[in-house]
Amino acid sequence: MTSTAEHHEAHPNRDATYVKVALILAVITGIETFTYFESVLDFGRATMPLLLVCMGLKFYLIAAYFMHLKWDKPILRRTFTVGILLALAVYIITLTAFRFWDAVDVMPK
Amino acid sequence: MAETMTAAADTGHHEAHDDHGHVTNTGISNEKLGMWLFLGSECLLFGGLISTFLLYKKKLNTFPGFENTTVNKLGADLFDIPFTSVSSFVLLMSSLTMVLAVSSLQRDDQRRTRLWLMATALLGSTFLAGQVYEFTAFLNEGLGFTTNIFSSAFFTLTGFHGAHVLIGIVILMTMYAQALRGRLTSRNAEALEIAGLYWHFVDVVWVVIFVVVYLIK
Repeated sequence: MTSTAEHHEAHPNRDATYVKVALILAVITGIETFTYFESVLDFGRATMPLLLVCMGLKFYLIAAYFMHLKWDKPILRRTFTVGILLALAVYIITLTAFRFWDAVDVMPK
Repeated sequence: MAETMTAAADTGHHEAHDDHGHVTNTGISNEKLGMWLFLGSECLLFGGLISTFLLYKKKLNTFPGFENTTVNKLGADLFDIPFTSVSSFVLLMSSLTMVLAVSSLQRDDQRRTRLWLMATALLGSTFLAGQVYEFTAFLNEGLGFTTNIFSSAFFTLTGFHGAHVLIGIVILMTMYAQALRGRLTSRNAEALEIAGLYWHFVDVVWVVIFVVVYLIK
């Protein structure tokens, strides 16, 4: 096998995949935006969980495809995942310490 | 048998990447591993800023001087969601152009690499200009950095993100200058890939900020 062929094998052309992922990201962003305008899309109590799912999906798509975690060495995925999980754990504990989860009325009186 | 095949595949993979620098025992260059570790630590930085914002937003009326105060009275009603949505879209598309630049360089397509790099820098600048416009609009409405506890948390979080975008643009322009001088080739494509990792991370952070700060009421 020639070195050029080896090089192309090491870096397959994934441009079409990247464009498809970008289109999915654009659609999800559109859905997220419309949820803000209840007259257009009203999901009621499901709005916040839907937004969090959309956010998580966008996060995954960018990290997996654009940042190549889907195809790269597992150690990189583990490094990044540990960073995120550590951050989540630290800040959930911090928010709990500040009684963030207690029911507090922040609506207009 | 399976282990032998995996080892053989790994060896082949390492050989294929020999042109990107010296081989390490992880099979990843120290520069790339270093960038991922840095991004892991950045998760902690932005996690702290987002938590602070959430805390001030949720527990606002328990702080002295802010009794019976709502977030809307402090500035959240100034948010221009359609405008911010367009900004978010622009930043998302900059991630696409960035990954296309990396892909072009790996194929040694210099012309497209320069084109996509410039497109990424321009999209990033558009996003940044949008943020400057938004901040100016808030200031004109009387919402400054020290106006209230909500605005302090908001400007700190989005300002830090904007600073990261600015640094990303400087890195992109440096890469573009190197490409113009012919110093950016498929041999050192990993340098652009590492710069791309930083850029995508900045995008991923905005994905979270857009929902947590702007969309969740």
